[in-house]
Amino acid sequence: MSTPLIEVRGLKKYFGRSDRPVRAVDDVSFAIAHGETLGLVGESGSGKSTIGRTVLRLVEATAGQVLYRGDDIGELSSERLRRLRSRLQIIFQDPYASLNPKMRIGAILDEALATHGLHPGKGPRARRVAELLELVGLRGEHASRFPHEFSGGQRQRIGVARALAVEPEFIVADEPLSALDVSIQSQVINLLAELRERLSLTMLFISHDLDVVEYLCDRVVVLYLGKVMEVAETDALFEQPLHPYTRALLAASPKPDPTQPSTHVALQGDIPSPMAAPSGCVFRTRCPHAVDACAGHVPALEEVEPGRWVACIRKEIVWMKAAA
Amino acid sequence: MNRLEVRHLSTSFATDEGRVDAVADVSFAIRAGQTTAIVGESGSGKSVTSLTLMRLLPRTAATRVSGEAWFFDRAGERLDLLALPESRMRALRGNQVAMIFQEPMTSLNPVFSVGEQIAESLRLHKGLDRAAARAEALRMLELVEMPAAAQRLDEYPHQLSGGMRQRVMIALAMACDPTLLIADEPTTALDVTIQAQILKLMRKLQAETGMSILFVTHNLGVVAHHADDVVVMYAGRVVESAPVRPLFAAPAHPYTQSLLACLPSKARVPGQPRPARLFAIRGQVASPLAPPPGCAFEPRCDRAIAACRETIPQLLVTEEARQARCIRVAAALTEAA
Repeated sequence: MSTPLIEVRGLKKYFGRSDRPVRAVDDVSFAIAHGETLGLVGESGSGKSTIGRTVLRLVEATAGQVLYRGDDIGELSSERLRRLRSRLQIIFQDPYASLNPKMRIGAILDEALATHGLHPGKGPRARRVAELLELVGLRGEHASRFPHEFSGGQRQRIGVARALAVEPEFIVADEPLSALDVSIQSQVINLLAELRERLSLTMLFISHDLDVVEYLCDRVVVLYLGKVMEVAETDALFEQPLHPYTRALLAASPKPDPTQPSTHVALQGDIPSPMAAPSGCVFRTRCPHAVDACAGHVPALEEVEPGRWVACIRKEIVWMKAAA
Repeated sequence: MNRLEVRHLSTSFATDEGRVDAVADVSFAIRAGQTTAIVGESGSGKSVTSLTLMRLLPRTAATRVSGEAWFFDRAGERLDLLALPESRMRALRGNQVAMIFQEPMTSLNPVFSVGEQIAESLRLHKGLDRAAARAEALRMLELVEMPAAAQRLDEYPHQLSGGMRQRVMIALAMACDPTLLIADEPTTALDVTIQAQILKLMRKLQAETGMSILFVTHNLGVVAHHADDVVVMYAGRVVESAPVRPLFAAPAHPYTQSLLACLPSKARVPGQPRPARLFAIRGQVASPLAPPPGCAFEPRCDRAIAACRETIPQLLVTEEARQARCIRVAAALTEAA
């Protein structure tokens, strides 16, 4: 296999005091191939947003490496990092908070271009701004408006245009749909899918919405309390989840179809606080299959079939067919 | 038997730019012991409907409310929630009619322990003394399956997780044994595994007490599995209402049809490649300050015709227990007749 575009190795991000750290991301590794969309799913506290930010070095990692085309971005000088930033972009969750309310849309996009020295000169930059707005389904004249003049869906389109302004190769999309209504969500999903195709983008798609991940992603990483539970091709994951947590997560998401079996509560109790994560397997306190040995050591992420990785010591459970 | 019958409910607010009809001519019913879900997107008027029924709209909003909301109380008496004197409404609210909200952190009082908050309601509505109210509060926390209930009694909302706070809200709502529970997006702020627990709890309590639930939500997955009847709202009006299975199997209104078609989970058929594009409803909801002259959904509707722009269509009975507000549906009915 050729070098992946992005490779994350043993990534750790701890917050707070070093004697009692909050392990937001704890030894996470994955790779994203050129043109691939990798989904990052998990509930609150799983570390998915922190991973997205650490991958772009918006947050400094505590340990581990992020390689872009084989180069460790943690080692780059600030000058080289600044140049690299135009290749790596992010779309944020909240289109209300991520656009400066005092700037016109044209100025927001123009700033991104000017910062990276793209399309030098006022005229060329203005033309590019109009092009970008059309690319995301808005009109050139929208450049003179302020963010408050747009609806949520339109603002998210502007967020997408801002990320695309600098012609990136790789985009972290951090819950880009969760602030949007269903009817607007599908417009933005189509926009992302279409742009990904046209611009051959590679994407890290962070979401808690399993239906969207199933639709949009090629492969999925399932996280729980800062650790990877399972990595699989999307179809395989949704057809037969192997890790007990993945199974529970899928079982808990209600399908919009009353003829399908209702969700069942596979998990009791709350997600533990990341400040006091359980020893051994972090999922063991809620796992219906936990045994004493699960507390002993952190289960390794093992390749159980080609392209399929699971971190669970209970192999007989992993291979047991999901109960119908 | 119905627990609540809402007829021609309208709520409007005064804004700087003029009066806005947040809810217009809404009618629906909730059967005893059953769940009716109101679904809709932002600005559809679903939350304003529930707040109007509870008479909890802020007075500063210069609201104008019309219509009727007939509530059948435990004694079998028929009361119009919108016309009841405030003193009687206060006796009913938090007692026979209770409400839970999306964000339990903002609806619980941060300076009182959860036990005190539940006990207060019991003292007020049931006249219990302090000791009895505290004992009953503990029983309520146990009823909602609060882990380590006795210890939680003296804890404050900030010490609890989101799921536990929602359990406290439900304990508070259940304290006076309501016959109608209004739940406004009760699980929207929760993770899916916690959402599943709370929904199961609500079902259990409903089965045990026979209460009716008005479930306000935007989540069609939750509606599919937790509602008996569904009311679909768009731009302040009911566009369709039906029992849950027929609604999902054969939605009548173009908005309901489109809404279901946009869901990514509906786009994939097992064993087949995923479609290149999802179905999308074009445009966005019109501003309530400048509503379209006819059907509010007309500018986004693929089946719209010129007549759709002329008048607002009536909500018509299409078959037993089903209604839709669309002139295409009306025309089909006339043809069939």
